[in-house]
Amino acid sequence: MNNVLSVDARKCTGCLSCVAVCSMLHTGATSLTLSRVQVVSDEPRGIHVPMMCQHCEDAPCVTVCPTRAMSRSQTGGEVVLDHSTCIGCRYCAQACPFGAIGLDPETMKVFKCDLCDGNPACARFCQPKAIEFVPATKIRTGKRNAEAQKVVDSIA
Amino acid sequence: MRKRRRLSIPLRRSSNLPESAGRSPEANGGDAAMGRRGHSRSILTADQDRCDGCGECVIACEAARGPASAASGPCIAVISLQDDRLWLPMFCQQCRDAPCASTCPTGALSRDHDMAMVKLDQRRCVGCGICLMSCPFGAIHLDPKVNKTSKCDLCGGDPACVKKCQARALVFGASYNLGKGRRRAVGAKVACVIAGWR
Repeated sequence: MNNVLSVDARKCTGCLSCVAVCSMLHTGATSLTLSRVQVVSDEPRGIHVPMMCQHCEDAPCVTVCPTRAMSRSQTGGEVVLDHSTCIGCRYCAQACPFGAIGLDPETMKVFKCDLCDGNPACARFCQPKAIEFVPATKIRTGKRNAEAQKVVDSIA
Repeated sequence: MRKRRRLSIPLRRSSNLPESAGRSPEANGGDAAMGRRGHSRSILTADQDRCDGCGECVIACEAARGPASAASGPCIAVISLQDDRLWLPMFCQQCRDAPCASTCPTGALSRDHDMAMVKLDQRRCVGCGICLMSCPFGAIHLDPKVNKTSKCDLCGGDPACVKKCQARALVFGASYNLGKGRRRAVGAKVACVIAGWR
């Protein structure tokens, strides 16, 4: 079972340490625009939603890529981008429903989350554990246990 | 000496190296003067979620290109999908490693990195049509009057199609804003759901 990035926006405090560490690790610079993970904030409500590539099973970016530079990894289950065949047409960004594909303004190359080769830094550095890298089944059990605990609390 | 170079590698982005190596010295100097992130290029993007298929962009493109477009047609097309429920404006994507520019035998099509566009020099074009074959989007057409290639030139940096787009499906904006609108839309939905739970 492959691990997936699980995001619980309720826990996110909007500290942007995931953004900082992501851009630092991938580009060597702390930059808001070069980070693969972005935090969308609803300031009046105080809700912050970390957003990154969801590595869709039937990914639109893979479907539209004319050169098959974007593909689904056979082993890891993630969507990988091969820069050697990418022509930089940005159609993947147009197809992505989440806006998870970014563009480096300097090199004009698109970039996306690559799960840090199996150990995502955003999950490692997230203090409130809003982003976690867990087996897909654990998302379900975690939520189930939390809701069950509420029922227990209400009865007790 | 070797040790110092090794230390500097993590701070320089490896993807940056081939691009800066190919640039002219003054372009490098300009970048250094403006700072590493000071150079922002504008790109033309379409949002199919917003397009209502009015076709104003096509008319604007025809008008902006003048008599040249009368024979060859506009550079933008609005494609109807799913029985007119979805509209997709299609145009030259100005690819970074453009297949049309790589295959052009005379160098009439070339990549202008500073303008982030693929430039066409029609005087050098021999009308072989190999760019039509290599373009993945069908964004290049032949001008039947002169039998030479014709393509979107972003109206010299101020696209007419964008100005006429009422629905704001076409945007000519900074490259680092790519995907921002959609990200915000999805993020706002999630925030609304969570706010309802509280």
